[in-house]
Amino acid sequence: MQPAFLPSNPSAMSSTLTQSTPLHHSVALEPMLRVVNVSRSYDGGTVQAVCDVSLTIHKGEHLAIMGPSGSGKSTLLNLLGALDLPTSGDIDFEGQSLCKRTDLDRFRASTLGFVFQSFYLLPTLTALENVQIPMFESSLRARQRVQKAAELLNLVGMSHRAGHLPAKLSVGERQRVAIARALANDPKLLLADEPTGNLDSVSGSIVLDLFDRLHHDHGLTLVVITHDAQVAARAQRTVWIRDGRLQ
Amino acid sequence: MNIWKIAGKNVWRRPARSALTTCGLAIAVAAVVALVGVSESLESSFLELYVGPGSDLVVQRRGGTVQLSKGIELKFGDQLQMIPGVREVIGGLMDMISFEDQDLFMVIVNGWEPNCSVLDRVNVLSGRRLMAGDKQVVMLGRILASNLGKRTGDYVQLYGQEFQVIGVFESFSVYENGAVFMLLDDLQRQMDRKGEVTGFVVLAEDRQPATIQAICRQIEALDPEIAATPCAEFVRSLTQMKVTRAMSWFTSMFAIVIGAILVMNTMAMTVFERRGEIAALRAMGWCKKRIAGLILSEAVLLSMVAAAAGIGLGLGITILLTYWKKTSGLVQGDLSWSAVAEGACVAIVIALVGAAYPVYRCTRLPIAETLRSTG
Repeated sequence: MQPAFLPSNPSAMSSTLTQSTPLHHSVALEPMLRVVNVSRSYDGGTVQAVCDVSLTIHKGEHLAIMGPSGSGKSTLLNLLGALDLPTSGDIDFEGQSLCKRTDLDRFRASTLGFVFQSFYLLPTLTALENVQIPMFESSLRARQRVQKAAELLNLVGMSHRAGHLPAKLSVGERQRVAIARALANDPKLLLADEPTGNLDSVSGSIVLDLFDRLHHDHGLTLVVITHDAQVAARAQRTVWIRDGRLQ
Repeated sequence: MNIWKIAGKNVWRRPARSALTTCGLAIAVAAVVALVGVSESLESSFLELYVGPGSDLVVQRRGGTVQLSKGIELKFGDQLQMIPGVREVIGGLMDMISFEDQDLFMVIVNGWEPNCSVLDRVNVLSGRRLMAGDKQVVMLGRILASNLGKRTGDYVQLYGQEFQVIGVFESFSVYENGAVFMLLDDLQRQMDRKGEVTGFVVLAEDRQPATIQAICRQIEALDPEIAATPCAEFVRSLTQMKVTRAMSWFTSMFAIVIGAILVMNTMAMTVFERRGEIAALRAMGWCKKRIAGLILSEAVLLSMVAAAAGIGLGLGITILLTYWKKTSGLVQGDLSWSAVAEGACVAIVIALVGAAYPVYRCTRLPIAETLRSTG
């Protein structure tokens, strides 16, 4: 089975991952995710993490959400990723309200990919096994899972480390494995929370190049949370958030 | 790769903790297997004592919770023998004594008539069998003779008097191997129950249940104070057996509760330490059921290893008891399949109960908040 993100020649793809890629990718202005007057408060309203945010993310867009620590950007990402529900307002994905869905687990598994700052790779599983983790929620058989995971590792240039445990990988390599894992179920939208936050500049650059490639060559819709201007500069559009409000 | 492989790797991730939990759980399983196994072994050995020689009915005075304290006239045996369908009637007097100097308690003393078939049935290892006219002599079962350090020709002190050992025998029954045989009139004299027996066992010519029931009715018609009971039913109804079984389970319950707490502690710590991972799995779309399945699989894996170790340990304890003087005349060195199955079930139940709370907690982790706090 050929995953949607796999190139016709994966080895050629992985060999170019470290090269800088052009960012001028045309975006069809078809809305994918629409955030309408969303607020999220905690502790009975005393803490207002996100306040009256409205935002539209289009298909194929590479969006950066920037803001200082505590500005509410991670809360906003959690809302976009159906990990949390707004206190008020609505979020719809391709016309369907997330607040009304009862199958958010399935929605996340089939539609979204997550890349975390702390990777969250399972330490007892090899890179190849970690990539298979989201596929447990798909209809793939065991052999197909292994094959697809191997191809995704090839895509991110990590096939030579497939049998290694996370502890034996560099932080940059861990993040590339985490990106391969995020692509496991062919997501429509990839959400990355400070994806280079724990990486050195070289590893960070490799990861950003990989995002560029996925966006440019495969039309993947990307939302990246960052406080790093260099990371945001790779995006087509950047929105600023401060004190829970979009600027 | 499947859930079991992931669970196995997670269990292996903390080898010391997993090993300690497995040990605690194995001890709980061993306690259940050994205690319940021994009580079942007591019951089955006692049943075998009756059923082995082909006995069908036990005839005793009705209503006694302690069967040894009530007797029946020996002459009643003649009436039993007259009932159609009865092949043989064996009357016997039974007592329990202790050899405190040798730390031997609950030693059975059987008084048999000289022509009793029981004396023909046992295998005389040394000396000879009891015969009519013998006075102040006993035969010792093999285990008892060994525990007392007595041989044929030695003397043992019973009821404050010296009895000569005229023979050592071996029986199919562990009870008889740990018992003293003496002539009935000798034991009647010692117990001051002249002309009495504790009860009779009746062997029927036809062992069909309907025939046995008919004989029962005829026996009970002879004297309303007398109860005739099929052997298996009789053994199950013995108060001592019921108490032993209840005590075994009661004691085992403590081990089970401790085991469950151990598993709960381990799994709760596991879930707490891995809450970031679990939240990430949920973010990736793993449903609550799959997360619960993973945690339960880890608990079940621990319990399966513990069950195997516990059953082995329980068997070892049971075998050791057969070599221990105090219990060697009561315990057979085997375990019933039901005791093994009960031990395995206990391990699985402990695992499931112990993992229930951690599973409940981890399926209710707020994903976003947990990722934030652990990221």
